[in-house]
Amino acid sequence: MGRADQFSSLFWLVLGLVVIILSYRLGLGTLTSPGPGFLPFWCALILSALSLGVLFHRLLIPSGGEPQRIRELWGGVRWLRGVLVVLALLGYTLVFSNLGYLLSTLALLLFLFKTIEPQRWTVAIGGAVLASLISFVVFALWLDVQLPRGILERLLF
Amino acid sequence: MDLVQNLLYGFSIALTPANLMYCFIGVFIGTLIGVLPGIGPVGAMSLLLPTTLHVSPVGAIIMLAGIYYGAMYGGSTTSILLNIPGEAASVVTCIDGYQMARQGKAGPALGIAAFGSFIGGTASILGLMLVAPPLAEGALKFGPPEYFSLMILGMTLLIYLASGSIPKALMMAVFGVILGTIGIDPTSGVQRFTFNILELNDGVGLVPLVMGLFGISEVLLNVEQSLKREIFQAKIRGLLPDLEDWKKSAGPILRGSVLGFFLGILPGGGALISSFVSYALEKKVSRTPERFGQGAIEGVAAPETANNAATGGAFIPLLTLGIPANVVMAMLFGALLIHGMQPGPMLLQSHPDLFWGVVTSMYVGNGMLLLLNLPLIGLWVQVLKVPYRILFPLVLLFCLIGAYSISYSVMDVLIMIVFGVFGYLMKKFEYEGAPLVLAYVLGPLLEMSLRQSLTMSDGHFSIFFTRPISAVGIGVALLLVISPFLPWLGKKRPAMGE
Repeated sequence: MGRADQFSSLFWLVLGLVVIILSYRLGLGTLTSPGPGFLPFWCALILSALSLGVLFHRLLIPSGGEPQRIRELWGGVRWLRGVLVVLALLGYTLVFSNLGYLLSTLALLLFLFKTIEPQRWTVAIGGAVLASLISFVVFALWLDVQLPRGILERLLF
Repeated sequence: MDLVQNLLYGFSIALTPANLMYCFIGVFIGTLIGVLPGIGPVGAMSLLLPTTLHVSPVGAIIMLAGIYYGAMYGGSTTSILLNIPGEAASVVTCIDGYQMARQGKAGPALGIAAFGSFIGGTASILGLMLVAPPLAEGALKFGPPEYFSLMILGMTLLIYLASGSIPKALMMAVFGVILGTIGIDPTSGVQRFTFNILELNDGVGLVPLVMGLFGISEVLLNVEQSLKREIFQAKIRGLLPDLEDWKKSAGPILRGSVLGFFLGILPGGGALISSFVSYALEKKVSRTPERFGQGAIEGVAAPETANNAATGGAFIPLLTLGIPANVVMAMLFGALLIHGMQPGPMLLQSHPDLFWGVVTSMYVGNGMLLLLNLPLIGLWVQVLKVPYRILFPLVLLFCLIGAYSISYSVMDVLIMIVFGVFGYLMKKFEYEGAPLVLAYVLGPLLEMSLRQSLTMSDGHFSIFFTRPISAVGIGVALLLVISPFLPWLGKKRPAMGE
């Protein structure tokens, strides 16, 4: 609890206020005939009120001890690995449809095996090839999931 | 007599080769993900949900249910051998299970966990068969106000039993309801919060949401620290508990079965709470409570029985009222909807094959689990040795395929990644995912019953307080919400995880 809570409650407060405005624009309707904005409006109002409560509770009544700083949440951990994983996944979504399942998955797995906690090349390549091929056979050929097909799929299957 | 006929009917469905295979796949995967720390039953169910689209609805639910109770079985293995719970409901098993393993009694600990799970699971299925049909009949008389207040009660209980702060859990639930309103409003046809993104017209998908919150976020949390697992090295022998072990465990197994079943029925309750409460109960009734924590076999038998007994109980609100009691049931709720079935009191009448087929498949599944867990324990120990650095790319790959295959949309994959990062931050800032998911699933139903109730009452909220069942539901929910401000009640709030 502490500054980290203040930061997160501020986020919820802003989000709540945005939803309040958007819901109001959608139309609240009447009590006998609630409109499309009725439920989200009241939910966002509760969300904002709760976040205000958490925010001011921490500001006015410190819970004792040093408030937890946001930096402490990432202290002593290798946060860069998480960032790399997210970037790899986002990159995957960009090339997935065009490159086809096999090539893009192969590249993703190779990247994950080699960068996050580096493996030997044989393990990385072997793991990536096996996992890509087996998952393609199981999901695309056996379970009929329509995975995007690129040059490798056309060559192999 | 009806019961026997229904049972035979159920077995005629559950024992078809196809359904037997789905049951086996379900319990096998359930045990596997129960054994593997880092992916829970919710993640595994969302992973397999898209593949069930090619399967009959009965087969799909049999498989998904198998994952749930299979995970309860498998979770005990890591708790006993590694001191790491494979899933949340096995946390308490670590206490005495790991101590038993250190004392060279890993075999009997694993054995009693498997037998207790089997007995608890079977007892709860019996309970489910006896309680569900009359309850479903009674629930037919429920109107929108009753449904509204029961859903509010279910969500409130989950919030109340959340491990962290109540305001934060409440915020998550409210946010979940807001998320559930994204898409085209079924009453007015108006687009809500879609920002002209075509893929959001049908709302945020359950699978990308759950996979992001429970799958991707878990990987992100795990990769930032080195996961070094110490596996119990000694050879495991003598899985069958001896007479003395059985004598000590008989009472805990019996009490765990009853307690687990009834706590499982409670909305917001489930396997986790059952395991904690049954452990506490055994410690309380024991003549030698000081043995607990030092490797008491009762400390393994009771929670493992209770968490399996709770799985049967948790099906009751889903199958009779159409209200999921916990996040796993919310996943099953979503699966039923995807397969074109509306969970609720009519389910038993309109799809008796589904109800009795699934219930009897659980008998079969429990038998399979006993076979999977005892003779194949060596295999699961080998699985434990797969390092996380090899495992996490595969978990990510399954998440990607799962999210994509639900509607062949890259947007769903993006939504999953966004919720993965969101879930990671939520865990960092100590917000829980369970109230969010349950509220998200219940949100559309909640909105519909609120609108119908207000229309029925000409806009008067008094309708929720003048009808007895609704009044009790809302009353208890209100009491729970204000409980943090009542010191005498707030202090007694049990601290539970997800």
